[in-house]
Amino acid sequence: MDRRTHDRYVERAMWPIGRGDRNFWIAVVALSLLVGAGLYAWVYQVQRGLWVTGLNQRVSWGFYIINCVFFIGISYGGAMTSAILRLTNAKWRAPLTRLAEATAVAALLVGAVYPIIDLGRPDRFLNILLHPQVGSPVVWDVVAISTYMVASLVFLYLPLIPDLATTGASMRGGPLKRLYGILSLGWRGTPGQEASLQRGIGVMAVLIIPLAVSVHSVLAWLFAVTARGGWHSTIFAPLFVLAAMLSGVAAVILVVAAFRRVYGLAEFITAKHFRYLSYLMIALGVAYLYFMVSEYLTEGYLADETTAPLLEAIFVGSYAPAFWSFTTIGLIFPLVLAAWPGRFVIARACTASALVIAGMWLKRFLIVVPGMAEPAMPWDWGRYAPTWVEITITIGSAAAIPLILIIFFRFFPVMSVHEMEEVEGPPQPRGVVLTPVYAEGAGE
Amino acid sequence: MIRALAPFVVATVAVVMFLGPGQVLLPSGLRLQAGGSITASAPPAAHIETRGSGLGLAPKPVVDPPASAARVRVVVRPLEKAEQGYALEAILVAPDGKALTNTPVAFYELVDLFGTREMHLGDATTDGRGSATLGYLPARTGSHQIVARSPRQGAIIASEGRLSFDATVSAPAPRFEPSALATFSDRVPYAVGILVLLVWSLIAFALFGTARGVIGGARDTSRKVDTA
Repeated sequence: MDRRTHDRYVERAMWPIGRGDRNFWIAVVALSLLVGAGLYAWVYQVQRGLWVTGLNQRVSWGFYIINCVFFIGISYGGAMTSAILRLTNAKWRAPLTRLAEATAVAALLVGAVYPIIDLGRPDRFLNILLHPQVGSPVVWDVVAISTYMVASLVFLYLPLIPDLATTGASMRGGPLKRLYGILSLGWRGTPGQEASLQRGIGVMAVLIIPLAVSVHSVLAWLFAVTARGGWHSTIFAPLFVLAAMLSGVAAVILVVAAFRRVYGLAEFITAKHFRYLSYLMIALGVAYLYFMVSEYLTEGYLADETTAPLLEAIFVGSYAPAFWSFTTIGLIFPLVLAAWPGRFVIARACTASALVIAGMWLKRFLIVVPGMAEPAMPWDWGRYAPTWVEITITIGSAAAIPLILIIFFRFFPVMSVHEMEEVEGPPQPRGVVLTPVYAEGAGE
Repeated sequence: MIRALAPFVVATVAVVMFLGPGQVLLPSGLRLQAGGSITASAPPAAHIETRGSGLGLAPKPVVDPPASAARVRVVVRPLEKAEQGYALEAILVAPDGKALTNTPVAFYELVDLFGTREMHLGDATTDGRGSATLGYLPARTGSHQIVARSPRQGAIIASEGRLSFDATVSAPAPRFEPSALATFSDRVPYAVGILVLLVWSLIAFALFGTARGVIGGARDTSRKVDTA
């Protein structure tokens, strides 16, 4: 990479730090209002109890558990994208990894709160810590999520160390400079420091994948170890993992597209990145479709007394509109759209990702609610309709993710400078013009 | 004139709003629809309360059914093999005294689970004598309340009969014999716990190992790199 491109990359990566233009504050205020509304709804629920929600004795899992699975899934996709790109040493990864890792942490922070919201009495969460039943999947869910959260934070922090030093060095003084100095641990880029850093990042990149798989597997086992129709399935854990990866990669595409546009990163995040991420999404989507068909085929062929009514409700009954919307508009169409050759790669990738995300949320709804509504005893089907409380909390939590991201990137570089230097090598002197590896295909 | 009618109009509107839009309850059990037509509403389902204090006693009707309802008499008798439980029999008689044949009957038991609910026991169809029989082995001894219900059949509206009886036979309590896998599965959580500790150790190694290496490298003045 030539010096000029290098400098421009560093300038764009650091551009948001310490800046707060009008659009930034409008976005912060608007998102904060939505998050505030969600907090108000939660306080309202805590004061009055879970009866203010649409949850009931028959359907006691609703939006909250759906959102928990959904947001943690998005987190998984972000972490996995970054880890795979690092482990495969993909040369084009430099502008993406930071965004993917930050998305993973932001989505996890939001998703991990939902089990506590679903409890109704947040103080009772302590019972899991004070009186754990080691045979309960719920306890292991807490262990898996907390372990994954710590790992995600470390995975975000380690590659930040050199960039923190760079950011601190670019400042004149003040408490922030001192903070960057402390967090960068005195980074100067010596060979010993590089070796330590690469070893740490390598360990975390290897570790984060099985960790994320375990988190989503434990979440799936919460359902699968229950003797309920549609839940008691051996394929549930891999199905959940694939769903998480699919929705996570779709979320990364949207986040990358948004920051590319707002922070002016088009020069460095090109159509090539979206095309490669789309390939990943397509592969995951096809795998998910295969798993889903396999699940429904085996359950539908046997059609025992617990699953037959459930499948009937999903395929041709009251949940059929949601199921067929998910299958066609939320899964098959986006995959075709993303795979279709031709122009508008970024627009197609973003549209497909948005549809996939909506579809995967709908799929989680189709797992949680009909499985709960189907009577385990010989009674009528349960009914569930969310109230304004659940809807407001859902919207507020969804707004929290971009809010966390834009605040985070006001203090930390939006693209990894150190990684770019690692991939591209040291900047060449002025006059030498080289096309950066990550930017190949920018003209598409 | 208008002023005199005003209170009645207001009262009528209030009644309509109270009863719900679209219908006004008339004294004879007729309902005035929104369009102005009057339709007859069917009387409630026939309800025969039959009681049997133990087995072998003839059920005693408590409430006479409406003329258009079938009479549903519920009786219970022990099966030949006592351990098989009981036969619940619903005998359906039409208002004209003839047996109601080929009519489905659903049997329920009233249970207390988050309030009183009807647990579906099973279905049977009446034979040529108007009798529908269902084998039933209760889960527990003691008092049981059985409801037999038949759906509407032409001019005969949905009907039901009830019976209380004391069961002296019940299904054997489930025995939980230790599985051969119990020893293995008891240890699984601890094995997973060790695995979790290993993962935490790796995370700590990655974090603190890197921090140690970076801080140690910062003291190494042999090579300085301009990070700016």
